[in-house]
Amino acid sequence: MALDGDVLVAHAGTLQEVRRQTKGKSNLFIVKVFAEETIISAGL
Amino acid sequence: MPYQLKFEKLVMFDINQDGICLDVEIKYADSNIKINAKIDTGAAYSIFERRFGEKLGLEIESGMRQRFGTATGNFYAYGFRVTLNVAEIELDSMIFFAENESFSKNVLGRITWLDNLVFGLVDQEGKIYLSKYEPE
Repeated sequence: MALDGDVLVAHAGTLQEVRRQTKGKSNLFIVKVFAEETIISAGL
Repeated sequence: MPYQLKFEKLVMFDINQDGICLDVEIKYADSNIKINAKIDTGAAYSIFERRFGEKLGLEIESGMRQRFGTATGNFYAYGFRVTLNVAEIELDSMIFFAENESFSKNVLGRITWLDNLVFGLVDQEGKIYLSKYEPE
């Protein structure tokens, strides 16, 4: 998803799609989020 | 065919440490802390010890709860939007603090840190080259 400040300006299934939707816009906070119980890699 | 990249910053790291570690400043509201963290390309997010979040004044359980996995088991951590400053490159980042107080690792991971950088490594010389990623 992409936030402009605290306002959601785009969301999609992949970061690539969010970046495509927001191309040309600056100062956005773009982050991938997962369902709480999805086990994501901590590395370590 | 040679390829050339230009970087804003050169950061030295201690090649004798267990892992490639950098000093990082975490800023949240009017608080900040400075810690040493290991770069971990296998970590989806940056994850830090709970006590550091508490030092920033965060109510840890109020963050975005997320389950993480390692080779030896799973754990929960809580996410917050902060500013990460490494080598004077400041990034708006989502980072996590471990739920369990016994968690003693601090890692810089991919989402909202490494994926917003251009990163060059010369391991044997202890050199890391960094730039903020700018989309073409």
